[in-house]
Amino acid sequence: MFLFIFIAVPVVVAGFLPILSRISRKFLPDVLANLCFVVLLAATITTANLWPGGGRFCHSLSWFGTSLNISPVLDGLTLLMLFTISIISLAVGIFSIQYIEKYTSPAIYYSMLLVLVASMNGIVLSSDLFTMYIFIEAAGISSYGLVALGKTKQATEGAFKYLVLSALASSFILLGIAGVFIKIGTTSIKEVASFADIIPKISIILFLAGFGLKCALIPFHFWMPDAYTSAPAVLPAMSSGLFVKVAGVYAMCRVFFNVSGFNPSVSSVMVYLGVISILVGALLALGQSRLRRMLAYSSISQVGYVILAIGIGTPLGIIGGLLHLLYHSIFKALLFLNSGAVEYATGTDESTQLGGLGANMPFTSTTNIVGILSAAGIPPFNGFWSKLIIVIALVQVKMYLYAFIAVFASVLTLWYLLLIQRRVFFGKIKENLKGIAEIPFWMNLSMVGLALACLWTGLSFAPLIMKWVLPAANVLIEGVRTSLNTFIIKG
Amino acid sequence: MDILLLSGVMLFAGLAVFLKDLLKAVICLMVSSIFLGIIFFKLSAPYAGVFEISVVAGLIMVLFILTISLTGPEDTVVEPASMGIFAFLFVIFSCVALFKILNSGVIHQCLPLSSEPHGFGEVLWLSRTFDMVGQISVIFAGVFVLLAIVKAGRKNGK
Repeated sequence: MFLFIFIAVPVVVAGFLPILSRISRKFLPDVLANLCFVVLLAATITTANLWPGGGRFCHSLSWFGTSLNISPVLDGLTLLMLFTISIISLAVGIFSIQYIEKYTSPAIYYSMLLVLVASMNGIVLSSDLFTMYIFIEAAGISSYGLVALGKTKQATEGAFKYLVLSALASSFILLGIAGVFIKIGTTSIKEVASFADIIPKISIILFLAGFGLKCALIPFHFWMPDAYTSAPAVLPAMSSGLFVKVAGVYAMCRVFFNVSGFNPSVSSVMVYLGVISILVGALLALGQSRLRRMLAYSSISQVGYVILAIGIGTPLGIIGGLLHLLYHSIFKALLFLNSGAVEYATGTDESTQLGGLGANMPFTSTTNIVGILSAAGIPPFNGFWSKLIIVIALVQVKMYLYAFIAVFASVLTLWYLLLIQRRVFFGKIKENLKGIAEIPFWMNLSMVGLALACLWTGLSFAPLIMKWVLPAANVLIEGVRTSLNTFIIKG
Repeated sequence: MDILLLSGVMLFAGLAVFLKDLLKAVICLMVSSIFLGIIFFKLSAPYAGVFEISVVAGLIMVLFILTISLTGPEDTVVEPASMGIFAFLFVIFSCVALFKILNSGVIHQCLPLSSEPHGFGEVLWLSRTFDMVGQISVIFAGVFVLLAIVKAGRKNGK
């Protein structure tokens, strides 16, 4: 299993694209970048088929028998993240073929996107806290660039706010790593984990604040609505769909479950942050009229579900959380791309200026409603199963109030998203929108693909759990077991 | 001495953010990097110090100054009156700090670069090779972001 290709292939292609764009400004970048995403998806599926289904696999890279000291590590959680990254990046890549032209040169855009994907793959494959940090930074820099492509004053302001708060998050993470290094003398995840009980508390607090900022959990959410509102739709689709999950949720889980040890204090903080984010995110989304701003608040709320479920620490909670992580990536990417499609066709994503687009944009309207039903947890779409498992997990540990909040926020989600659907797509078409036509083929293909994925992953949730989610959950459950044993022995 | 160096880093980094004139901001950033480089020397990390001073305070600043001179100022930047106080502090602080640093002999104390237990190349190529891949991604990301912004600026006619 050549794990390094997940990082090397996108970086190499990214490096060549600006040069190749001199031969063909659009065709070659479009084809090569999307081919690269297809290769990554194929590599993920092949890796999953070759993988025995448990344990940890380390692939040391060598050159003519000499070790290069590059050792990406694969386990169930890594595989789930690679799968999520591959699906969403392919969908975004296809959508960008016709969408990105109005923003910048396709070659430069795809290069940034490929570096972002390579860096996210690097985050999940690294077995060292400091290496993980470097890849988080690389992914962050690409994201700032994608936000700034919006070209408007608001986009620049959003990018700047994102940059400053993200730099703050990175500083917290780096300081946390420094604390670990000073105390233990190494940053290797495996070695640090064996000294989990002497990790300084301040490092754990710094990790929590840093990863909380990356996840945009309440009260660390300030950057997300501004950054998402003015950026091209592909950025929020990548960021909400992937970057927040990888640099925030994944890194947080990896550190708290497999490095520092999962203890009741961490569990409580994750549960509180999760439940507050679910409720406040949903309430803030209610008052928004701009599509992307509303979806940004909705993302905060949905990531809250993931953190709440994983924070409970029970096997069912972890499975529900990870399943929701995968499902949310798919339906939120779809909803953000839909908002991009609406803006592409009409020039605005302000819902009060829109209306009756359903007749002129049937594909966008249909895929949008699939995304909405998935987000709200309506069967048989995917969001239903993950939310059901999360609510059952909450009831199982007698957190009835939180279970009620989870259900209530789901109803709120359905409410605000249907309001948007009604305002934008239903009713009589506005005079100034009568000439609007459906968006181009590749954009539609991407959205239809994601909508079908919402349905398919909902209908086949059981095999999906067995193949992708359960091995990932086992990695975290193992972390909880180890921490519990230490806790019992010490206590 | 340490407090002076740390305050220097903070003060000049702050000035780099608050100054409206790009050239002055870049010079402040350079001074801040030089102080940081000296701190690295003091912390027995001479390689980090050399890199900080040569690459961050040297090479990157040259690129910044080159870019500023090529693009040219659109309007004359008028600094607010409060900036005068900062400028005054800048001069006083620079003089005091430089005097202290030169008198303390810190540079002579820390200059032997072979004092580290592991060689620089050994650390970089034998134990942290994966980090180098990450660094390449960081550099690529930075270059592409700059290219995208420059192209967007050209399209907007700026």
